Amino acid sequence: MASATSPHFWARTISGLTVRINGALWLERFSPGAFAVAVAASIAIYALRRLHVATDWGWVLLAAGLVVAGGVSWLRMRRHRFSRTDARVLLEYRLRLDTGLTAAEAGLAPWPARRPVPAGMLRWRSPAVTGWLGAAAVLVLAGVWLPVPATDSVAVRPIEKPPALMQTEAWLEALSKLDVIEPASVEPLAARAEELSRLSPEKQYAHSGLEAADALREQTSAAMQGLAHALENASAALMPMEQAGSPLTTEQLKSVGERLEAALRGMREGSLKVSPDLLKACEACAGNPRALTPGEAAQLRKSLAQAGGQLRGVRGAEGAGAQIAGISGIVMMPGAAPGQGGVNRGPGEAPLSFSDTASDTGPGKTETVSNNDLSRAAMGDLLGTQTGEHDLDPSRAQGITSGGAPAATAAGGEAVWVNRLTPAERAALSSFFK
Amino acid sequence: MSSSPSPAVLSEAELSSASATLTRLLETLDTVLFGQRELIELVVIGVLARGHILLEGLPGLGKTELVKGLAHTLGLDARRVQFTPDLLPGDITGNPILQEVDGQRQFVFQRGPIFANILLADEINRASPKTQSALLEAMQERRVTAGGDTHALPDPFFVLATQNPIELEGTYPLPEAQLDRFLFKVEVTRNATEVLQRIVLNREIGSSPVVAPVLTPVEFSALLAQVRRVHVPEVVANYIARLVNATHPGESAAASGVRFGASPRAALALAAAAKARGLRHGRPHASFEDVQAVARPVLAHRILLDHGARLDGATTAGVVDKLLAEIPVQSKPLPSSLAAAKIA
Repeated sequence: MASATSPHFWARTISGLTVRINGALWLERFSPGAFAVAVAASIAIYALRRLHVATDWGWVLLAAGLVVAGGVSWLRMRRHRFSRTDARVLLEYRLRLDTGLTAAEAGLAPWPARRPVPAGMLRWRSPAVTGWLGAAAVLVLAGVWLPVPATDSVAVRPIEKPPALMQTEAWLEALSKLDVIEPASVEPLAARAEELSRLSPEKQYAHSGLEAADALREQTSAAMQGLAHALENASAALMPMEQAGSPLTTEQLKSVGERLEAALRGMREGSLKVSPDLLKACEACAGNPRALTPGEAAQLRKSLAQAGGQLRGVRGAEGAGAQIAGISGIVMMPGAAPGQGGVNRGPGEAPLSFSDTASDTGPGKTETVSNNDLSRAAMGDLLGTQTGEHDLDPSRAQGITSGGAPAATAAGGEAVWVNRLTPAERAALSSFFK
Repeated sequence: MSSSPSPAVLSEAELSSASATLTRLLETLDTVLFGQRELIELVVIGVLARGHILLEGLPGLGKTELVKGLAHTLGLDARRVQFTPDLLPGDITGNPILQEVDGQRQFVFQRGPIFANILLADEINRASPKTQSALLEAMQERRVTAGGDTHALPDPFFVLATQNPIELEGTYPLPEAQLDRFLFKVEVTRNATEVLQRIVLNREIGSSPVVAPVLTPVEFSALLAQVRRVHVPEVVANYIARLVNATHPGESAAASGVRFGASPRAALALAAAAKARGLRHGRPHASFEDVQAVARPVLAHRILLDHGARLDGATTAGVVDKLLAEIPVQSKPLPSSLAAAKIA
């Protein structure tokens, strides 16, 4: 006799079976979609890794794609979805209940007694589903773990600052190390350089940014040049006091004082200032040249000349190329020595080479320019295009030809009869008539 | 589940009584025809479903004995007609004969052997198509029209026909449309050695087995009425419909060599036979197992194969077997990633 809880037991069993079968249906439709999503996501993740960008968007793509694939799979399986009735019929048939569950539900017969549903009644047997999902997982792992080629690191080098700004910063750093320069006078220039270096690369390389960097470099250069000139003038003014074998005359001392005074004006009026000690020594000498012994004059003149030389050393030779050559991180091609003027923006000349064959430089002649150095090529770069006519052989054309004609015409009823026979019928008939 | 079943539903007592009666009937028929329990059960189910049955088999396998035994056990009036090529329709249905009644001459209908509860049509394929048609029309309409008068056949009325599949000379094979009138076409197979030994020990040539009636005609009519009260659940009806539809070319893989599939009459026959089998097993409803048990004798003779399939050695019974394997009992197929096994 069926127990009192049979209806509930069978209802639970039918519900479980329905969920299980519909789950398998959904998985069958989801697995190819998941594979397609995994292909796209793994490519995206790998590409982002090659670009040295965070892979967050790749994972977002994977998650969103799986959600969409799951929803689409659910919609696609609607027509094939197992109802509770289907599951009940399957259950009672597989358990050999003689349609007992259906009859019981219709009130025709009592509910069958409870009995466990063996696990082997429904078996998972699809290698296709596991294959799709396994392949999807492998693809995603490949996108995550596959090594990125070393050449890609060249393509994503950090962007250098404009050369003028780099040069100015190098000058200011050198000036800050000099004892003969008053540090406070360097600070306004350093603050301006700091302000420019904080700009984004796009703004630094915008026209206004480049102009500002150039102006700052010119200003710094002029300040150094002016101060060096004043120091050299002061040094030159002290030269007679050092070389004189006998005390200088009053007129000579007056001339020394005046020249020193002129040099001091240059030191005071420039944006760069000398150290207070040196300035005081010069002022004392200019006020009373007679007080200095030849030895002291020689010592002062030497200090001034040395300071001027240091400034000139910091500033270096004229021409931007000379400064650029010493800045680290700039790649110069072999033979591309720094020049006087010329290219002063960007990392230098492009590594291009011209073809040996072109000679006609007329306006109607196209000339080949090639770049064989692919070390800086990034993903997606256009390596080359070509415009020209198709290479066809017109001599192969034979004019208009016929599309074909029947090899043999039908022979009336016989042909129809023969053609209607299946191969098996034909074989049977031929064996019969032999 | 509703607490009180509708009055049309067979009660537990009715079911157990019917089942016991049918078991006794089968056991009795077992003493008539040894070792053919499956055949006997199919014939009894066919009769319970009010269907006509065509028995096909070699001579001497006991087809006629079975039919005679069935008539005795059911207590029904049975006639036997040996079909021959010169048999005329009137020889079966009856003829109007000129007689003098009350001093006047008039035609009086002389009833033929068809006016019986069970007609045994022996070697039906030996009669001419004209005679076959007359019989088959009577099978369908359950009445005979002669001389402008219509005569109803007795109720119940069954035709149990036999035919010999090996002799083709002088025979007229039944057309497919007429085969469709038979509920079952059952193939009678030869006996195993043990069964033959039993026959030798228990039978003698020239003496027929004597069986006692198991049912009275009234009890048998009550059984027929109970069969009609057997319920066919909607899911089972749906299965029958899908099964019959799948016999048509293009509707299933199993029907790839089929030229013409089964008719709607086949679906009705399947349902009727399934109901009869349900009652035989003491159930108030027909089940999928019932449908599958009777599918082969119901559908096999209603399917016509094309020449290619026949030349390849395909049989209609094989097609039905493939259909049963292909068409699931539930309305939707299982996902291909799941395999279901029948649990004993």
